Amino acid sequence: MFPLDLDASVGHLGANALYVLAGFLFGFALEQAGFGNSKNLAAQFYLRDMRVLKVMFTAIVTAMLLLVGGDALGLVRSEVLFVNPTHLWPGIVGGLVFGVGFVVGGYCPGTALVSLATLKADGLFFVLGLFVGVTAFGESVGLFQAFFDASGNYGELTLPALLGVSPGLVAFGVVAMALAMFFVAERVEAHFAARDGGKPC
Amino acid sequence: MLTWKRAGALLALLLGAALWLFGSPSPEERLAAQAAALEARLAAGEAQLEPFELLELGHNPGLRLELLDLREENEFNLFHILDARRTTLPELATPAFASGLPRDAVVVLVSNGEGRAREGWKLLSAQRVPRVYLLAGGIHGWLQAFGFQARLGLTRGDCPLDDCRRYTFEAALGDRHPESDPGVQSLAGREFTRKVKLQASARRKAGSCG
Repeated sequence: MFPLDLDASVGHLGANALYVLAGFLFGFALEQAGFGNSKNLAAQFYLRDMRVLKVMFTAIVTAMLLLVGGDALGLVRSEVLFVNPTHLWPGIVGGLVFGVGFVVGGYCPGTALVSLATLKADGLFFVLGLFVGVTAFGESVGLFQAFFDASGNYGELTLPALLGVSPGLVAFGVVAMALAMFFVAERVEAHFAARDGGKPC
Repeated sequence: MLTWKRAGALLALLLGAALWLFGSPSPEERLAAQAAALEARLAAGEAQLEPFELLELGHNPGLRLELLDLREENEFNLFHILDARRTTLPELATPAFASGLPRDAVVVLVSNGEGRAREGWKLLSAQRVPRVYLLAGGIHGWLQAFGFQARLGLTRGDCPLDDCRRYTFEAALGDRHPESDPGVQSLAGREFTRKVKLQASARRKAGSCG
């Protein structure tokens, strides 16, 4: 039954080896999706290349179907899974800061590491900036702590609990929403491709 | 034309629809599907908390403890452990009850022996309530562990779930008996295996697109 207790089954060292392997596979998948190239990523914000939306939502839909299906079949003990607590306003502010960094730098943290792994110079500078930002935030986090703790703190919030519907209905709704978004995204891509005369952004 | 992309989209939509229609089994269906696995966890002693650990948890100010007493009302009124609240097995079987329990609480079920508590543990575990345990030996185990054997000794014949009262109290004082809270000093020198894994409150702010 999932989640697996890796420490118990393969030992601490074995578990860490598996974490490294999972990280490598994740990075490999990102690279194969073209996420090691900042031009591909930044093009999302100019609506020329919607692969970020499509890849990320495909990953979300796949993971969601496996989790909800595994839970329904009794294969996943969802009660022991960590649910990231919702801090609404800090999440919105952080999302905006993150988005600005993403569109300016062309990467998010994970894709910057993928880019660095393929020896891209912009990836190197982005990762250095990432460390500077992490250090600056870590040193000044006390200034934001009250905002983080008290502003829109909803605890462990899930869509089924919030909407009062079954996880299966939420899963179906998210799948339908993702497919509709993919459809619209491809139309938008086609529109801009025609307007730009087929030239890459 | 059916391309790979369209086939994938269709498959995702069908899976989503199947989960909508069949992916939310009732508590009874969940229990039936997981009966063997839950029995195995009970047999392995995974869910049973020793009375000493329960007393320790009850005196931990940083912990939210939900102590649910499944005994009859007259038994609860006669005597109960400090901070326990009474409920019933049919109530535990309702999704509203399970979803109303705080997600960060440690839930401990109590009955006279272990019979009803084991049934209740299976009901809540099948509904995915996290951190559910039961008091090993029930109220009988509690009284035995803290040296109140004089309270025990009542015998009864017909006993559903092997869970009948074997203790006596002169008055129905609920949790105002000294046995309700033997105090943390009772734990001095006791050695017991802790089942509940406590950890310092960790702030996890992480969240990344990758």
